[in-house]
Amino acid sequence: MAIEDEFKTNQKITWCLGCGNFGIWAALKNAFIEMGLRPDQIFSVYGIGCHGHMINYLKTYGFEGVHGRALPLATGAKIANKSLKVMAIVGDGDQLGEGGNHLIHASRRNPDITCVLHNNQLYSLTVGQPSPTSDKGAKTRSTPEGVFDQPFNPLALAIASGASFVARGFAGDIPQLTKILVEAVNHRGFALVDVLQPCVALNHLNTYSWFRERIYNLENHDAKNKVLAFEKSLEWGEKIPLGIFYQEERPTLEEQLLPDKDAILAEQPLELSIEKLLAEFR
Amino acid sequence: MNDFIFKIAGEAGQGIASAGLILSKTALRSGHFVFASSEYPSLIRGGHNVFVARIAEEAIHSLRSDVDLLIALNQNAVDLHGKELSPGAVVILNSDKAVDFGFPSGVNIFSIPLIKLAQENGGQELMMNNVALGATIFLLGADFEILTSAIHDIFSSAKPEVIDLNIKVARAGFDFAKENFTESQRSGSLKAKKAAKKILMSGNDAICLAAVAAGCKFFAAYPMTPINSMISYLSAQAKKLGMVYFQPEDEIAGINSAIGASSAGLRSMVATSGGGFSLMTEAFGLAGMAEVPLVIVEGQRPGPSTGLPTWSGQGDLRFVLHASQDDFPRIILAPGDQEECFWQTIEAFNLADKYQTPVVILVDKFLCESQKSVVAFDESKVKINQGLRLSKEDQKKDYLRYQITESGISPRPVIGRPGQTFIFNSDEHDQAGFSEESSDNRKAMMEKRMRKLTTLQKEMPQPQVYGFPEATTGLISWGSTKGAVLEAQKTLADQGVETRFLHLNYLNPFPAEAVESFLRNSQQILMIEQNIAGQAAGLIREKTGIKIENLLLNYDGRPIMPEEIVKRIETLVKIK
Repeated sequence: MAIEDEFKTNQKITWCLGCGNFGIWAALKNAFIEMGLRPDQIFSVYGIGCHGHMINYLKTYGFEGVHGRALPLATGAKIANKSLKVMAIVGDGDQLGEGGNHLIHASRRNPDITCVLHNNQLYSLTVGQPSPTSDKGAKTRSTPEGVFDQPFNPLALAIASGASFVARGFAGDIPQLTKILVEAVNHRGFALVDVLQPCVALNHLNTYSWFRERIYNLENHDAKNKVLAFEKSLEWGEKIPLGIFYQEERPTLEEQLLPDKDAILAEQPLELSIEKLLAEFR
Repeated sequence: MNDFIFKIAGEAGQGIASAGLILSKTALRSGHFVFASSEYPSLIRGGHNVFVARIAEEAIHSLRSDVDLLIALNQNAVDLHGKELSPGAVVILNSDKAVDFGFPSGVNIFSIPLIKLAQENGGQELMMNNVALGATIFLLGADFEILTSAIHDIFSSAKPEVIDLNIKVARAGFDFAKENFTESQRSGSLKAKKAAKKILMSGNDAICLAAVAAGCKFFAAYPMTPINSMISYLSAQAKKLGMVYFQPEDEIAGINSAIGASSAGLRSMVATSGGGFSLMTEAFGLAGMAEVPLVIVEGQRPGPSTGLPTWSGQGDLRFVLHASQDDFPRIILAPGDQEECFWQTIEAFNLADKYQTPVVILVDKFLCESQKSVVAFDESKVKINQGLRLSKEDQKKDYLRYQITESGISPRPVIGRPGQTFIFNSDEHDQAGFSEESSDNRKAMMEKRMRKLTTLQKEMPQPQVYGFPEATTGLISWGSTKGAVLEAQKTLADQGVETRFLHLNYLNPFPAEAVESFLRNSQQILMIEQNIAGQAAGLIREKTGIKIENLLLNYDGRPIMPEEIVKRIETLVKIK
């Protein structure tokens, strides 16, 4: 893990000691360094939650929006400037609760964005209510009898909705998460990386050791096989697979939507004559 | 009849709007002024549809209540609109669907078997509207060739044989009228005359054209009446115009995507109605907090909730003034007609950039969808001003994204440039953009942002006063009621009643001094607006301390008519 690097700001970090966010932050910086990227080539868009504090620590162009809405912000920015590496750095409550609809539609549209889901299975910034990914039965501040609902499966949802790159990493394994992030950023299209992120302060169920007993890396897995990917995405409990579940090549949103797919829209001149348009109203 | 109201009414799906538009274009191309509007229920087929146009030899600003020429395609049209006819009005009656019964005396009925004529000439029943147009053209003494050109343009996306067939049935209507009616029954109201070239467009059209001229490159809108025609217009030619239309999954995604596009350097716009704006409110504040330029078109329709989805009102003024938590600088413009829609949209993009904040263009269904003949906009007067931007060189050095300045405006860097990065932050932040909660910083940043409105207040245009500047009877309105008030002033002047009229098209920052002096120098004041609470009257009281006693409030979803204003003023003046 790089201690001092060009992707680090001078801001004091307020995450709890041992928080999974440190691992994700380190893996992101490692991935950017490995890819030879500079901070001014990256636009990181954040939701609201513990993960969102990263805007103060990760040195790239950045935008912390409102809760759940990072993906539409990121999509607009990617359309404006296709040369940017656009990262949507989001949380599980943020993206799957309030922002669930946007995940479905970003998956369908396939903008060239990497969505890094900090999945700690809890609303931690509000001190511990269940998030959409909390395990059934989990006792939290607002579920004294345990969570009644089935957990949300972000990987299965993304695959079913048409995401072209779907992967899972673990905040406790920075080298492997770095590798997955490099693949995700290099992927041309919408990439969802679900990151298992232990919350040391409030989630006493899904801890580092709980995950370490269960996680394994997908090997000899055919990531082009959508049915297999879907089947693997449903695996949760005794065994939890990590790695790239699904990947396909298909046209991105920008390639189809932009008036000139090779030009940066934000660099085009503003002045345009409307003389011909006016004539149509005669 | 050198100033008449034409109405065509029938069932939804009978081509009411296209027939109305064809006649309007024919009038326009014959050198006349036109003001046109359509009324329809929130249905695709089966409801009652109406297209109404006022056609005149002199400039006009609104509709009137009386109907001088009615094309009644079915019995409903007779039953609903028979009573609106003026003395001596002309009715073209579809004798295949309606009976000549119950019209007031003095009305001239021309019964024509519209469906039979359409079918005899190889057309379908649906083409009865064009048969009626042909007969109308004969009766009004217009040039059939001009009608032909209008049909060509309105049906430009149809196959040539379909266009020809429409023209053929129109000819049949014309010939039928020629054979069955006498020359003395022709009015000559639509005779071609020499006049300055004009264009006919809706408020939505004017906003779209201005957006294109202003360099808007990103337009996001979730379908909703009354802004749908903006979507069809811009999406059809987006690629040709070098811009993007993005259809979001909801209005929340719409405004957030536009903020994202704007943050990365695009002039961006969203359009919606009150319900969609309800969903946008959180991100409205985000644009204010993160200081991202954004243009929001809010086409009002009567609420609350779904309300009257296809009708008009001005009930969202307080909503846009106060939407989203806490205070941030918001600019609210309320154009009064098609010309103001164009010029204030250009201005909206410049203000959004200059003050790095959201600008709302508050219009309504009536203005969005009504068509008015205007002199083509002078493009050479379009000026693009992107405000204070950080140079490429300066972005390579240290700078502060949210630098505290006297004007409140911080030089704007650009995302994606090689150089020092910066962040937009929805959390309270320091001058660099980093989250910061200290008391001193909070006060300084709130004051910096709000100072932008004070800066703008110093340079914003003053509201315009129309009519007799020395008159003691004052009228005040805002937004699309402008046209009806101008027409009322004309009528009143003819009766010897002099009035002056202050039209508000800048609602925030509010031109308090100008309004206060107008109020203090008038003996009686009538405020006209289209909501039940008198929202603008309340705003005036808040900003000037003056309570306006006489309010003409209209909230039935229908546009206010000049006659209603005239009546109120007559009462007021007589009381005095």
